[in-house]
Amino acid sequence: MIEELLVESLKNRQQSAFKQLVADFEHMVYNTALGIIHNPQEAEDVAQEVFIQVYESIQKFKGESKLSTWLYRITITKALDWQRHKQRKKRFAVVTSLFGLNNEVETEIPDFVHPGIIMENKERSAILFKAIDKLPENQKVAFVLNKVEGQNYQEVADIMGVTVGAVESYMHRAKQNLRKQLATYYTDQ
Amino acid sequence: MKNDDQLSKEIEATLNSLDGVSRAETAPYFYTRLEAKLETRRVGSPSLLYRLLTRPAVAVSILTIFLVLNIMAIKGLTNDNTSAATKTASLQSFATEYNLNTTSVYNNSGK
Repeated sequence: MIEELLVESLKNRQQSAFKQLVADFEHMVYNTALGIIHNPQEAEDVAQEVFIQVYESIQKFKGESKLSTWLYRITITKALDWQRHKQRKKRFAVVTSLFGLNNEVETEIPDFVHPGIIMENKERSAILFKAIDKLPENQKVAFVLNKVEGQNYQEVADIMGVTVGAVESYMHRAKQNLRKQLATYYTDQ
Repeated sequence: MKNDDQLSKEIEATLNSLDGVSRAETAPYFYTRLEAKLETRRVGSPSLLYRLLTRPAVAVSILTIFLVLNIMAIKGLTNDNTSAATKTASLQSFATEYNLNTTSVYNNSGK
């Protein structure tokens, strides 16, 4: 279906158009969320929230960017919000446990292995994803879009709403930070 | 402890471990689960106020406050009645003691 037609049908609340949109973009949205969140169940929840947001706010889509770019933006915003919320909850749990108010133990998935990684790289990628998690948000988003979603710098710039130069800078600093973290990891081993 | 050359090889290999990654896919029936979630939203979840008021702790607290206020109000009313009666009685006895009972002129007119 041509994009404009799909958007028009979505604006007219056609169920078949929404089904088509989900079929076309569900893996893209899920993979991006997974690249940021590193938890399959939570990434699916975020992906669902993204499509619900699209369903509710499609009228606001003016067609100034590609539909996929708009979807990427919503996904990144939701995934980062989710992560911030989780970190806040974790910090709160630490504080309450200090006062003996909370005995719940936060269960963390130990090593995230992206399902799309080839077998011989699984162990290394788990180490890399742990390091990616510690990157500042802009660097993390640029790195995930480029390396996990395979978007080129121009596409990453469009999604993030910055210049290509800025993306190059994010990527350069992301790689520098990752190298530092990995150096510490391998030296301590 | 690794030497520098070995270390930088390890780092580069790990940095490049995402090369050739394929897209992760959602579990089957994603759309069905999404539709169910949308349906729940469409039906409309109860309002925040309703959810707050129906929490057992909040409901019991409100009920307790209501009962306490009622008891206080009833007690206050009962006390008021008693004190009014006591006041009248003491005034009456004071008036009798000092012979202050007012008698209307009309009462004497017949004498």
